[in-house]
Amino acid sequence: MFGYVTPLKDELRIHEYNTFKSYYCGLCFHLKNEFGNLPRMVLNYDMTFLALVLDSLNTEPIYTKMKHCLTSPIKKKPIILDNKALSYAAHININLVYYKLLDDAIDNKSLRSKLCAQLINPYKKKFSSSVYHINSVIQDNLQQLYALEKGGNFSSIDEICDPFSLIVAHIFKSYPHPVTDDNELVRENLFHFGYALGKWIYMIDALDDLEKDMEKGKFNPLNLLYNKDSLSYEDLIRQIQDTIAFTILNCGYNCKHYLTQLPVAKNKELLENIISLGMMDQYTKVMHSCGAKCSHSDGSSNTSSCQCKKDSINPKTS
Amino acid sequence: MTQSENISLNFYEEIKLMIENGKHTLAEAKLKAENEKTSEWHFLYSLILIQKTWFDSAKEHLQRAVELSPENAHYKNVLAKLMSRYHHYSDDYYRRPYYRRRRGCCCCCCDDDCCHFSCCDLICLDSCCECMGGDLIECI
Repeated sequence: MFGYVTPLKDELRIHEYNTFKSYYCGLCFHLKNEFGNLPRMVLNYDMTFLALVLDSLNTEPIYTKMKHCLTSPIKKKPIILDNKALSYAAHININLVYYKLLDDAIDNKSLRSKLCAQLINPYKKKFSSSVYHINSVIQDNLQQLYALEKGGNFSSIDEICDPFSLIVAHIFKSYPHPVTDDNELVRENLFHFGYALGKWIYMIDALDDLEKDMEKGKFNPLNLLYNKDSLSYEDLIRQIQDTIAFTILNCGYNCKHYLTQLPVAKNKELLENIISLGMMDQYTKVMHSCGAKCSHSDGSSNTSSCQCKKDSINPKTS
Repeated sequence: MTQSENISLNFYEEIKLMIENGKHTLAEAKLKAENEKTSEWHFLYSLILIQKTWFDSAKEHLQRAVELSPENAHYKNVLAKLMSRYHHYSDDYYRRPYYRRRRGCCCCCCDDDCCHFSCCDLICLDSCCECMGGDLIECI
């Protein structure tokens, strides 16, 4: 589910890339300092992006220190420390993973989920009181999501995406520290930004898991909504790629739009890279690994120049 | 104009005003309570759905509005804008030299197919390389 919101490294300046890494490593250290070593396993790029966005909405300088870590025992790396946004992201990270594992365990989806939930359970005591409200929002919406997924009683992609989108929307809106020019409008824009981002993440994850879910007979919203005729995976993707592109790319558009409405005080180019280029690159990779080879949502077709190894699908004619 | 047509006009004007003033939740509730679903109903509902980030549903309602009132150029115009909206976002990426170099190919040398080292192997190799003054993997 997590790990799709990353920068496009080829289009970043070196200092921007180093800044992103220092937030990522900073999140790891905040997880360690606030929860311990074991929960560092849940570190991911999407929570790093959460911290990056929220921290970029204030003018406070970033406190960076050169430190060793497990993955870099010899060479020191710049790591952001004592950062409110990273602390919040660490709490949210643990929270989301815990409730997801709990729901997986309750549904008896796997023993592994049960054991992992047990491992994370003691860390709940360390949640700050500032995240209690968002904890209940996450729990309620995850329960609603799993009820929808289990019952299959939804009729549009918008409906099934809504609970997870609301979770991410509230995570952004409910950030418990002040941001620049903080007011109701800024918080509403954070809500809309988070909603679009959450929807993008849910859909990319559904698209990425579609083939595997169809093979194993597991729930997938795209399969349930669009595959009434029990098509093969390749035929289904060919049929729905424009429909999926329409929603995913419009969500990307919204993220880009609402970023311009937020009072971004630092890291602007890095954020723009992630939203306009990094997310697009992830979408393109997922779409191509789905077998929609050489056929793009902009209608172009590049059959002759495609060098992809998996080329069993004929390109769609525009 | 009949009295019911007048009432409908006032009702839709009221909804439009709510949408313009950002009262989308109230506008949605009032629209849903209305039984008669005209082309204007579908059109206004699609505007609320666009604001909610429910693009697929908005597209369906706009298409229904156009179907019910094919002579209405405004509905067609809004539908055309919705269908082309995301190009303002995706074109940023498709016009980059990075994308044109790779032509959208997702294959890279770090795919699972060609790399058979584990994370531990890579960390050890990188540490040995750094001891000798190099840097095998920049990010660790």
